[in-house]
Amino acid sequence: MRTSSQKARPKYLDLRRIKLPITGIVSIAHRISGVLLVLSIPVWLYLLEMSLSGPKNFQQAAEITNGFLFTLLAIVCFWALVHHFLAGIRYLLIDVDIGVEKQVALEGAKWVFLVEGAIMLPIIGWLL
Amino acid sequence: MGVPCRRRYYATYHWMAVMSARAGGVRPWIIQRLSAIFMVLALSLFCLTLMFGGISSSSEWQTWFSMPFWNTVVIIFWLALFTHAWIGIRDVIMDYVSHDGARFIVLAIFGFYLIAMTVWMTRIMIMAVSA
Repeated sequence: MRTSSQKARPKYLDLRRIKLPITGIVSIAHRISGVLLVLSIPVWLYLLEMSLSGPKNFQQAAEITNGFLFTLLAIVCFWALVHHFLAGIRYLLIDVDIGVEKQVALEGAKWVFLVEGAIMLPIIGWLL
Repeated sequence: MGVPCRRRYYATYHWMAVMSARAGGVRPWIIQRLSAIFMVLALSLFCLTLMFGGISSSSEWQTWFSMPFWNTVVIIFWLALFTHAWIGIRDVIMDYVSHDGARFIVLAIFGFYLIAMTVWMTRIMIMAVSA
């Protein structure tokens, strides 16, 4: 015999129909931002090397960071860093049993996005 | 015949599957958290220094990197980043790449990638200290 709760549990494998709760969005974004950060390492090492190779190259590195394409890349990477940082702190808190219950977990996920927005707005303003 | 013992069961794995079959456990879990805490502290400290000190010229930037304290923080930060990135990327690959051979190749590519980045970072740090 099937119970009503089993019936009310549809399986969606279609990405357009899967609806993640906000905690799930924080989680998958934590993974995506982590992979983005790993892939962006060469860009930052390239700039670091250039910026440490004398005044002329320092100036050149500064000019690269003023370009439009770099600005877009920097916004994506700063978002990835800020999200990975904040969601990571949330996971560390969950590790020490803070924010495990469903209601608090949902609140925490909401706060991650709120603080993220509050940090990203001035950063985007500064980069543009 | 009976149930095969654990050791014999392992022996039936293809060698390409072993790389991630042994990857679980509590040690990487702890390393992931310790490296995260170090990076949170170091990044916060770096942001505060930039906000209140401000580095604007080439010579200030070079001096900052050649100071023993900051140089040490930067190098430990890289070690934390390297292990954190490896454990993280490894977990993601093990979750989404189910074919043994493909998973082995993707893991190997990322391993070489991170080692190459470490060599590059070492070169930059040697240049920064000797400048």
